[in-house]
Amino acid sequence: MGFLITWFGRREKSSSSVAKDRLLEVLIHDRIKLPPATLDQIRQEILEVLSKYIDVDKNGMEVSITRADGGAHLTANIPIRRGEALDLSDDAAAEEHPTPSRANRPAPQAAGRNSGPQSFGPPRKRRH
Amino acid sequence: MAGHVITITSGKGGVGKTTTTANLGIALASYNHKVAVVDADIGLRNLDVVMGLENRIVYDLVDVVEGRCRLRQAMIKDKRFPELALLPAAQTRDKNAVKPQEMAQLCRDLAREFEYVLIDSPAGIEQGFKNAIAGAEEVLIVTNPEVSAVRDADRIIGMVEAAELPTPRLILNRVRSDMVRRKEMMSVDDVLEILAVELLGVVPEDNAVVTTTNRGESVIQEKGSRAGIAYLNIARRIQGETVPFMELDASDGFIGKLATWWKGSRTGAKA
Repeated sequence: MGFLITWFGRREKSSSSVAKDRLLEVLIHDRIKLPPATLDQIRQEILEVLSKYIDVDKNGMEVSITRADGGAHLTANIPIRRGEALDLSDDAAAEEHPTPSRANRPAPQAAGRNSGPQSFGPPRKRRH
Repeated sequence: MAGHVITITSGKGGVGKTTTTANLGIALASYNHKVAVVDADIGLRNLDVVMGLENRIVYDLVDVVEGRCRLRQAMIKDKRFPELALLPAAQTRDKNAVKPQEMAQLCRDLAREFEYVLIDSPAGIEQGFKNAIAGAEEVLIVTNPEVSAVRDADRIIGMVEAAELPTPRLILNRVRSDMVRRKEMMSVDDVLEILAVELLGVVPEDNAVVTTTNRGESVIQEKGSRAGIAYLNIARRIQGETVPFMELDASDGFIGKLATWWKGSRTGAKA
């Protein structure tokens, strides 16, 4: 009966895509020889620095290590929640928690300007 | 004449390095190039038996390096392919019997006599691998669409680049199109996306590889063998020809075709 379930309806993740995802994850650490905890710390610190200036989506951040041009590239893909930089005038800087309060404020002019995820670092290159 | 020295390696064992070296050697020789295949797996000699030349060994690679014989004396000519010769590995020594500089010199000597010098590397990342790439101008990585083999291939690609050799090209071996179609095996595109290297060839899983190797023969001479065609195509690409990649999705009989049609009509997927 197993095959009937497979054919009619089940939409489980295929084992080939599980293999690919697991490889991509494990190769991050292989390529730069960093333990997962250290990479997590890097991720945290990058977010802390960026969120001083930009309203970033902390849950949407992706960090990956790719190989291109004969070396490893660390690529951080960090979605920005709004398509504008934070107001860094003295008034704004004086606010104790600028990021969350600004995020909650309605921002009419930003509505139609979703700039999408902004990538830092070089794009992934494929050499074929 | 300065020949081209190419090392075939993989990191992981058992992915088909020796089979690939033997068949590419035979394929290049069948295109009338003078080819030397070198077994660099000292202590675990195998290229001789895969090629059916195991009974003709007198001297080996270590004898040449240590000066007990001349290079020409150690080369075994394959009577079936007059352009092809094998330099076997020593079976009773270990990988430390040869230094990288000695291997590089050996490759230079061979490249004076042969148009292509194919080095069959041992598995692993230690001394034997370092010896095998010491004289190489180019490295080919053999891997299978499996997590362990791809992970090791990635490691080896990094080490080859660290040795300031050109980024290796990839041979994806033992691909089962039926499993790829059912998404039970990573596809060629999946592996290329992960490894980000240039694809040199795809060799489908083929029982004829086992049956021909049993007899010390080459799958290239087996009529209708898809693996044989794949190796010939790779040999043509090594010579600089542009050869389109083989259509992998040759379905296996009526049931296979039906299954492909059925799955394709549901998901729009293709292998």
